[in-house]
Amino acid sequence: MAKQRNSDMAAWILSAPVITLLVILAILPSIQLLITGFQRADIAGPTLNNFEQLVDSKFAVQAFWRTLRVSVLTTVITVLGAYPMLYCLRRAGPRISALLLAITIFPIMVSTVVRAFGWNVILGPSGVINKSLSSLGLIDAPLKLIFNEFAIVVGETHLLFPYMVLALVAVMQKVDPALEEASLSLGANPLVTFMKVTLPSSYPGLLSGTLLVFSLAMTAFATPLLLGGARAPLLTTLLYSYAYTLYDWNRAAAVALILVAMAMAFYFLQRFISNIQMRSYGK
Amino acid sequence: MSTIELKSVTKRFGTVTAVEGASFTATEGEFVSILGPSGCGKSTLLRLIAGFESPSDGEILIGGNAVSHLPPWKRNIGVVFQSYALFPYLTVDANIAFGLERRNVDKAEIEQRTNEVLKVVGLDGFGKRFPRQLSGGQAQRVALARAIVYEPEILLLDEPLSALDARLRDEMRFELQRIQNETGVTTLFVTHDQSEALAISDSIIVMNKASICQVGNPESIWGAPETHFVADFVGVENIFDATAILGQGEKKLSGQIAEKLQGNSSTGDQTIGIRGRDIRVSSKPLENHLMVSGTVRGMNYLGHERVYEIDTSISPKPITLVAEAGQMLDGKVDLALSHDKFLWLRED
Amino acid sequence: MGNSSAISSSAMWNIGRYAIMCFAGFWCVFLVAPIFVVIVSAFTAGDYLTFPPSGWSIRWFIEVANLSWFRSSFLTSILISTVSTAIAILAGVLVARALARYQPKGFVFIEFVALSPLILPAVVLGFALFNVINILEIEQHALANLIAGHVLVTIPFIVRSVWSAMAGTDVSYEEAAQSMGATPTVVFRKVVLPMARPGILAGSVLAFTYSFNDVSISVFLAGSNAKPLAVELMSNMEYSADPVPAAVSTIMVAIAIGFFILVERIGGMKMFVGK
Repeated sequence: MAKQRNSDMAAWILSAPVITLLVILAILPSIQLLITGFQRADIAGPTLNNFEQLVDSKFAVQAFWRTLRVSVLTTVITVLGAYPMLYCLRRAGPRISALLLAITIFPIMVSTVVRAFGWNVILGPSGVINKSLSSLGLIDAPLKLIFNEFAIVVGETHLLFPYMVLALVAVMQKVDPALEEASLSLGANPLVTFMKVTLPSSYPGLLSGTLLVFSLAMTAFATPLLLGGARAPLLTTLLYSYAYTLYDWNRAAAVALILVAMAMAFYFLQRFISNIQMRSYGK
Repeated sequence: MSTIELKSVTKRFGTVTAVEGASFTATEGEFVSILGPSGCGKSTLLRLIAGFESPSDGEILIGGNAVSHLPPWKRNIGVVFQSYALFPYLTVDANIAFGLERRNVDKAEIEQRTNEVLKVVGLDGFGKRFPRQLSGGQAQRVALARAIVYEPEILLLDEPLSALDARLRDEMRFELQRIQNETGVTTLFVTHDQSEALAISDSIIVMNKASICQVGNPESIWGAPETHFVADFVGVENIFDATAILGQGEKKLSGQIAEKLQGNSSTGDQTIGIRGRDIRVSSKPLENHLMVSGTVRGMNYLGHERVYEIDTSISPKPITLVAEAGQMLDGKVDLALSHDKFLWLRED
Repeated sequence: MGNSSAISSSAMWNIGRYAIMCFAGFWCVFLVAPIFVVIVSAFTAGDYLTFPPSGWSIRWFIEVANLSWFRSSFLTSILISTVSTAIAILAGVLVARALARYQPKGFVFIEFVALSPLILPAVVLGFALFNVINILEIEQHALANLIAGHVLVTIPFIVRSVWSAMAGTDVSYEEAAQSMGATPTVVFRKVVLPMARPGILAGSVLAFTYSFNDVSISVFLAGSNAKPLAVELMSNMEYSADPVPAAVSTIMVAIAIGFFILVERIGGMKMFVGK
């Protein structure tokens, strides 16, 4: 009995530095955010005015739908792209597999600013795509490929593709390799095996990957800021413009709170799903 | 070296009782095995003595001192783990020196004693290697060296041979015995392998379902098991029910007199056992034997012997007879079960 | 099954196989393209940013090395990332130990708190800190604010990596040390920490990289006296037509490659997989 209490105490002492830091840096500021979001300089007492203004603003509502559209598109595209990559990862020899994995993971280590700049160079009016298309005589005027939703989708897909692949890979690692061998021995070629054995085995990873990518897409900031510009704002860039351009920190806080609500919802959904998966799959 | 004494030690984890009322004494220099199947509580018992768990009830004494509430690092013990637990980032020398460093032994002496103990376990010159460069048998010896170099009061071994292949295991058994004889340290050896326990112990403690069933030297555990479980565990093939009758001083086995006793005999049901190799084939009735007729139902040829399964009227299950390789039996047989070879067992 | 159907189905499957390989190849190109384009155009000899570059030269790297804003923001970033990672390690290793070995009451609470910066969007965390800083009127201490913000987001990287390493370690090593006379402090120093070293190193590198690359928190906390490199790059990117942002980006990518190889050496690809 005493030993249990002692180790409880020890655990709390060990956790104290992190808890202190996070209370000061995250929890208290979040509470303040809550307060700020329900305040307004010209109105006494807590008010819903900030949220009302958001709902009334066409701009803000568009930003919301745009965020949703972009996130859904990004998620769908990453799923479509991740599976061929998964197939090659599983079928290729160890060295090519390692190379593919490295190519997929490495971009995570590169700053979003650098990546956005790269897409700028590729998609811009005098960028790689436009210049090559016009030198081939296929277009007269440069295509508008940047500072719009298209560029944001491209950028976010590039950003989040690795996460989807990793989610699938993580799940596939736990699958018995003998399953695929059994399928091959029963007469199914590798493609059929992939469709009928590998794919269904990957569904748990697909689910968690989709949720992850979708939630990351809904809350991405730097990429939409640099590739979307002022004409294609998302919720996150809206927050930024309220804070830095309009100096309306109350409204900014309101947007922030909406983003928090979404993030929390995704988090609990992810936990819920992984709990169900753990119970039905065992591990 | 010290004695180990357990007085009614009990350990509960929530609603599960892992060890119930365990009491025994290991004398100085004795090699004691704790034998039992998986889940019987033997490892928990070891961990209680080591100090990794505290008893819910009862007392543990090492060398006469109560240690139940002492943490492991204060108990002056040596432990060899099933996985050996050699620190992978330290050399063999550094692994062995670890316990000596905790006791503030000076560097020169550490070096000397480390070299000495490596010689004792037969690994002279291995000091600079890392655990990953050692074979299974070598790692095991290093783990042993590490645990005995600082001359602990007792040595605890948790299934140390189970990770080795059969031949290495036999070899290491002799090594273990030799080293324990040389150092004379009181040793507790946990295993599920009865042949291992019989081979090297001075005394064996048989455990089943959290309780101690029987304590004794190897000969008495093998030759005179006291309970159904112990008999089964040491390989008694035939165990069945008998009926004792009060007053007549006799225990009857399906109508035939199996044993004549002086004085009181207990009534009610009894369990008896007899080994397959203690049953003889005889068409003529023999003195002091229970004669049973039966029909051969199956045979396994094992090279040095033949094992027969025989249906009889004295037991619903077939009787196992272990016969010499040359003895071919078929159809009807007459069996003779010697009264002296019957084992009267407790149910547990 | 006749011969002909075996042949035709094998042809189908070959086409399918190549189609998938091409598809995957396309994605590889897609992943590499922006980084490749940036690096290559940084080596241009011309005055403007073009791809393909006009001539080869490293003049822009020399140019960048002489830019005062590059030098000061580069040092600022290194300082911020180093200090915040160090603080995160001190706090994170302790809490990872608590999570890996002890199961105290309120374990879920500790886990949630320690990993919470991963749950909330970085923009929100940045803005929330910005809000508080304004209210407290301490925005002029930009360096300290940035370090505080970066500590916040790097802690979860360390905790996750170290916790995973510790939880995967057999408890027998600690028990063996205890049985030989090591008190809990000695066990922590001589057994727990050495065995958790790969996790600590990998977590630190990932944390440092994230901090060095970060924009989402840094835009809110930066001030005139302290701006991380990524933030400076962001503003430079917008108005500059020369290859300076490309050169700066290339330098950042080179650092990223270095860190990537480092993490791979420490523990291999599996460090990135597993959540």
